[in-house]
Parts: sequence; structure tokens; C-alpha cells
Amino acid sequence: MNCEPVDNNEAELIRQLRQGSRPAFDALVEIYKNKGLSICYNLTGNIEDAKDVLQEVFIKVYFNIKNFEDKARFSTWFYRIAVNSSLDFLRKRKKMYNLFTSLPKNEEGEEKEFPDTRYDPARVLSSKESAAVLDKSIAELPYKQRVSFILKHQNGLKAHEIAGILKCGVPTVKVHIFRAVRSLQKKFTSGG
Amino acid sequence: MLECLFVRRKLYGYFCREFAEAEHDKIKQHLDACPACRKKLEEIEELIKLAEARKTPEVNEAFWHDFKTDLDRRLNARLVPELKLRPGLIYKLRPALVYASVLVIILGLWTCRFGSRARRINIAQSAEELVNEINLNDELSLESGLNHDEGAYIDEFNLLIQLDESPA
Repeated sequence: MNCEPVDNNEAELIRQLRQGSRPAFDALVEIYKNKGLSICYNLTGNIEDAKDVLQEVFIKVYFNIKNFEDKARFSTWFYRIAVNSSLDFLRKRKKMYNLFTSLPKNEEGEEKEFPDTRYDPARVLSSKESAAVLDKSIAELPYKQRVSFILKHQNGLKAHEIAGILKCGVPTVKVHIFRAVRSLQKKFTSGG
Repeated sequence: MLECLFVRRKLYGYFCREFAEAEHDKIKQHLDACPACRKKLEEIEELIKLAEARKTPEVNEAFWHDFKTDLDRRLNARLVPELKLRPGLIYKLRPALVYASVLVIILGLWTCRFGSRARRINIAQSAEELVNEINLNDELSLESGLNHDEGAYIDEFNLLIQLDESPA
């Protein structure tokens, strides 16, 4: 993932979008749709949900572009909206799920995003099931660890970009990722 | 063992090549000599490899076409909110609808009772009744200003007699 500063073309598109230009909006959609879909998909875990969330992200961009400050990077601002919208979606889905059942909680007392599925820790990283187990394990991570890990290792963002999205320092992001890796490692190996 | 503890805390940073060359080499030397720490590094490598292999599914042009169509529709809907009859409005109008219905019923009843004054033809059942009826007609004619001449009056009288005498 490369995250260049706002170039002249992008700055011009943003300026036009502030004036309500639909062609400028369409051009920005073209630029960011793939990266946006990737983030939304990795956070929601479903392509149709990701599509729905991403549409909402672009609508938010259209209506809130006036709040975007030129000194910031548009890409960081866009990714932050994508992450927050995806997490809002997960929260709503969790509420719907809670109508029928109560979810188990993780180590920090947060409810897991998905139902707990028992698995054998000895079954390590060797089959397709590992990917599903990894998804569930990631979903069980605390919020900031989860987002940091996904953005870093599934979306290829750099630590300083993640720091911009989460509004925290780069060292904090590195700690989140380190802890996430350690937790995941423990779940995939019996020895820890 | 103490060194293993330190190295294991730095394995992820080592994997991401976050350290200066000197520190990187130092860890590498330890890993070359320590199979247990090397195994831990392999686990991290496999974990990250698995995570990074989880790619977004390939989407085709049709997907993006649908995406853009839906996006435009949703955006337009927000820009121009649909005109909808507010739910409260129907309740506000309800008393007026009730009054209008009552008014229609009253008008209907009034029309039935007073609006239609169709006169029924009564056939006299006796000579006396016939004479009374004729007298009443005369009075009504006088009140309404009808001006019968004598011949028409006799013709009408004869017609009534004939009608009265004709078999039912």
C-alpha cells in the first residue's frame, strides 16, 4: 500500500468536490474504491457487507468533505472513515446477534464479534481451516490490536498511517501489533 | 535462557526488519545457535504469511457497475429526500375526514326527507272523496295562480269521472 501525500490532481478533485462536483466525486471513487473495499472486507469479513459499508463511506466523504483539513492526507482521512464505518457496522451486527444470544467475551472483557468456535490448538497453520481459525482469532482481539493488525498485515498500511487513522502515536501502534501477534501466536501453538 | 527471553520479545521486530543492522545481526547470531527461538520465528512467519494471504476476493466489472449504480442512487436519495406523506399528517386530517363524512350523511338524509317532493297520484275511492279532491285542486290552482278555462275544467272533470268509473 502506498500512501502518497495529496498530489495536485487529488487536491484539485477535493477542491471541486467541496463545491459539490459529481465528476470530481466519481473520480475519487475510482481512485479509492479498491483500497476501500479491501479495508472494509478485511474488517467485516464479507464482500457484500463490505460493498454496503464502502458505499456509506463514500457518501460520508461527499457530505463531510468540508470538514477535511488540507494539511492532513486525504488517504488517511478516507481510511479512518472506512475503518470507523466498518466497526460501526460490526457493532450493529453484534447488537442484532445479541437479540438472539449472548456472545462470549475476550480477555479484556469485550464481547467477541463472532460466536466462539472451539478448535484444536494443535491444528496449526497447515490447512484451509487455519485461515478460518485465524479470522476468528483476529476477531477476538481487542479493538485497537485487531484494527492495527488488519491494517498492517492485510491492507499493507504503514505504522504512521495506522497511527493517523487511530489517532495515536506510532510506538503505540507498534505495541498493539506486537501484542496482537503474540496473542495470535499463542492461539496457534500449544506452547505459547 | 535469559537471552532467549530477550530475543523472543524482539522476534516480530526482527521479522519486520525494524532494527538497526548491528542489533539485527546480533539476533540473527542467536537464532543460528538456538533452534527453540528459530521455531518461534518460523511460527511468526507462518502467521503473518497466512494473514497476508487473505486477499479481498477478485471482483469483476459488473460488481463495480452495481456498486456505482447503488452508490449514485443512495447519494441522490440523500441529496433529494423523497416526498413522503408524514405519518402525523393523516392523524391531523382525521377529524376533518370524520366531519366531512357526517356532513355527507346529513345531507343525504335531508335530501331524502325534504328534497324530493314527488307527488303521488291518488285515485278517489268515493264520490265524496272525488269532490273533496276537486275542491282541493281548485284551491291549489287558485293559490298557485293557474288559470283554467271552463272547457278545460269540464274536460278534466270528465276524465277524472271516466278514470274513476273504469274497472281496475
